[in-house]
Amino acid sequence: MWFRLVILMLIIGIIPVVVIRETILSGNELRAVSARSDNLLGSTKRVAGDIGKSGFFDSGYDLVIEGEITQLADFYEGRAFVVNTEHKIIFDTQGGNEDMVREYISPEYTKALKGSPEVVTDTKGGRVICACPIKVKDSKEETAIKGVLVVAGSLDRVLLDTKEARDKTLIYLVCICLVVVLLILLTAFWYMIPMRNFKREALNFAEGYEDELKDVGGYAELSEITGALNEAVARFKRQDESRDEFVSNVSHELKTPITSMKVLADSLLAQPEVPSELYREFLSDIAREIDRENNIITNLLTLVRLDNKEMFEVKSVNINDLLEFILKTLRPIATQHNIELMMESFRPVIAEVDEAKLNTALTNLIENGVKYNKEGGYVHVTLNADHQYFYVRIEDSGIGIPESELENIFERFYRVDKSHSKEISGTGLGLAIVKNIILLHRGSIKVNSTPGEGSTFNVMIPLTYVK
Amino acid sequence: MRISRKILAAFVFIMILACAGCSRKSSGKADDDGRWMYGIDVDEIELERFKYKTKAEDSEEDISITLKDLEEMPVKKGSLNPLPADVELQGAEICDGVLTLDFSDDYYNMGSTREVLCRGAYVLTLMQIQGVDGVEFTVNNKPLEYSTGGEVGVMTEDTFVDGGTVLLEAE
Repeated sequence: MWFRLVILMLIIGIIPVVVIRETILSGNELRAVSARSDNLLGSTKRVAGDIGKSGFFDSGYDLVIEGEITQLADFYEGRAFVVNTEHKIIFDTQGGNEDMVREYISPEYTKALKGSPEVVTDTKGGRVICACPIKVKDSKEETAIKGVLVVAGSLDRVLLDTKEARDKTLIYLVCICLVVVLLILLTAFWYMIPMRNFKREALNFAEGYEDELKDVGGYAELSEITGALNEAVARFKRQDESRDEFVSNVSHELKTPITSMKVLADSLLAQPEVPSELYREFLSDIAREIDRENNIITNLLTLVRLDNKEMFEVKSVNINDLLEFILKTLRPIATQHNIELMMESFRPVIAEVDEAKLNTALTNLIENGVKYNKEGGYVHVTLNADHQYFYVRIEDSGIGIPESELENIFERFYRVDKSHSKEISGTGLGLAIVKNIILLHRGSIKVNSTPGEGSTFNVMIPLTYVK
Repeated sequence: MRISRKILAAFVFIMILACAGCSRKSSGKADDDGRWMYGIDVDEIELERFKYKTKAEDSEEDISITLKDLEEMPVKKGSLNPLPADVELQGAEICDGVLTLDFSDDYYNMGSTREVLCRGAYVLTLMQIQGVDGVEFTVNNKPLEYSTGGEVGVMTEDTFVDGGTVLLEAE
């Protein structure tokens, strides 16, 4: 990460500098070349004018003019030609065979013949060429173009200047860049200090030298990460602890009926002469304990299977029918305790649910309503739905749940009033199973209660199951 | 490992900077093995040249192939052929190093600039062939004359100064 940071900073720091230098140098070169071209044009125009005024074309010989042209060519470290309208070279500053006729070909010449001066820069070849028409006034004061003055000047000096500037600034550039590189390296190094500290603390934490990840500060993000990691670890610890607690609870719960059975069996065996009624009584107690043990084991298995999330079979189920079936099953028990069991439905409800599991959950809830009730009380079940969810409310007139315990009742093995656990049979797993099943359906369950008056459980489940 | 990566990165960047200060590439020159063939630009104001080679075994074959290519290749390269379509090259003869080219009457119909360019293209192209020391033009076997009078005579590469490639020092 540090490496990437450094590279990025180097790119941001150095590239603009290089680009700017290049832009400035190129700009300067362009300006210098342009200036020289303009100067050449001016001078060439002047000399062309002088040629026109002299009798050079007529006599073909004029030392003064020749000298002027040569001076011009020398000043621009180049060469000049005077060419007539027939492409013939009349004068060449670099001499050449006087006897031989030489012809000049160039687009600048041809364009200049039409009357306007032409300037062409050839930076690659290091030259600038200027062609000016030579205008002569005849006796009738009319101007005619008699030829072209072509001057080819050298750009070498200008280009050399640019090269020198380039070389000089390169040294400055390199120095600046070295300093920039150094600063960047230092900054990156300094920047990474909190990260390095964090890494060190994290490694210690992972190894187990520390129980908690220490906040190294530096950046808010690192503190947040530290907090989140500590949270996660705390959660795992809690899970671990609750798992231990669960195992211990399970062992205890499983042992209790067995202990009872042992006591009953031992006491039977201890007595030498036992009337058969006593045997019958104790054996029925033992049978009851076995049933209880069976219940606990069944519930445990249910819970474990739910935990494994296997076999969740979703299909369209008529909830009204389901509830009516449950009520039918529980009516005998309700009647036994003189409890009124009623269902009210506002509309037919079809939903995508796992029938068996939902049956278990609703049965548990309604059965609880019956179990933890007063003599002559009631359990009212209400079914309703909107376009997204269906709602089941189970309201009882039972013993209620204290507010402080409301958040714990869905925990495994939790029983509200331990003193009641003898009178009202239960494993403490019922609501844990219910909650699990509701959650599997992506639903929610809420409870309101007033101790002494009753409890209301509100279940909300989506009509369509979304994976 | 960290340290060497750091140094490598810095090194790479300094090298990049150095390249930024490199001088311009030198302008390309035609290699001495190849030759140039000259054509005329479409605006008829200058010569345009391109690299050219023949596989001829002797100079006569070379001249023959080159003359034929002068009437075809420039167009393929986006220029004009030196000789206009209505003018015919009637004959070519080499004697004592002087190559004489005979053209049809229509030669005199060419504009003066085009005519100079045509001569320049032929001469500059043909003078590169070994064994050709001069080129002469005739029209219907009569020596070519300037419009202002006087024979053109034998031409060499020195006869023409090509403003496009003119050297600042004398050849």
